[in-house]
Amino acid sequence: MKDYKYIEELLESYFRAETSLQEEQILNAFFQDENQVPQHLKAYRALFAVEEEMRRERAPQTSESFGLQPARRVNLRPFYRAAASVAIVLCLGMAASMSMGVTGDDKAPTAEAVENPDAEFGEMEQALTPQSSAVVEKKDTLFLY
Amino acid sequence: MSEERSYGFKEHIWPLRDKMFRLAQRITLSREEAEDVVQDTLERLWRDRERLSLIDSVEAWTLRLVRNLSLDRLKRSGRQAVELDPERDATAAPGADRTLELEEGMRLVREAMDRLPEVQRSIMELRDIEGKSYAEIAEILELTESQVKVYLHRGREKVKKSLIGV
Repeated sequence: MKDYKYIEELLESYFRAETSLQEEQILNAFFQDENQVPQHLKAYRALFAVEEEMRRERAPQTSESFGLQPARRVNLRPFYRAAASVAIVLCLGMAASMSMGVTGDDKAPTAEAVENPDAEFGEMEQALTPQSSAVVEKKDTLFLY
Repeated sequence: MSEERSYGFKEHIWPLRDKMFRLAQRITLSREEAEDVVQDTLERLWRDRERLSLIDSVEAWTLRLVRNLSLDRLKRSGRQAVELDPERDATAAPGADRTLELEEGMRLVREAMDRLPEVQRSIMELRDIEGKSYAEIAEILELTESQVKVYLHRGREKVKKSLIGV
């Protein structure tokens, strides 16, 4: 008959919380092998079996990308769509305007047609200056849009 | 944020998920709550990732955070006492090669473990499942090594008593 004194002593030390990690590994290995555990120690198999089972528990799989993105990505697709929509509307508008035809009266006067070109240019410059200033002042805002 | 920091989180925190989950589950006795605790812990650590380099033992720090967040959850839900989570027990699938006697013994062990006070449960988890030294457990739980041994002794003895009657 095998002598299990060493294991029995280890087991006593284990329950007194006096075993080293190495000794606990010996106990673990011993109790994992059903065939070598004698009848009087069999009840303890359950304890080491539960511990072994708990060791195999794993966290549920979560997204591997969790928290590992260096920065939040901005989805630009809606902006591209909006820009494309605006472009289509503008093209349609221009096409409609051209197809309706522009009368001679609507045409901008040519330099020859203007009797006093300098005065005409002065008036135009005066009219456009406020808009130009506004554009310059709000250039940051305009850039963002 | 530098790439180096991100690498550190991925290398040192992310692999701890299973340990976090097991400890949280041992404390909350609930698989769902343990999942939430792991998520909360990861988020917290991600927010504080710049400071991780200042910590001596990231693993001990992480497991302490897991325990604190688990205890917070228990406190918020007013659930201090043991409540066995049927879903959690259901995850312990019976092994094909186990005898009925062994299965019954394992059930008794699990129940005895679940009935232990939280600190004894946590210590048994850290020692018997995670293989931590007494010093590491003392650091994680902010106890002395002597206290750790006393609690571990009490916990193991209670589990032993549950088995002796088998």
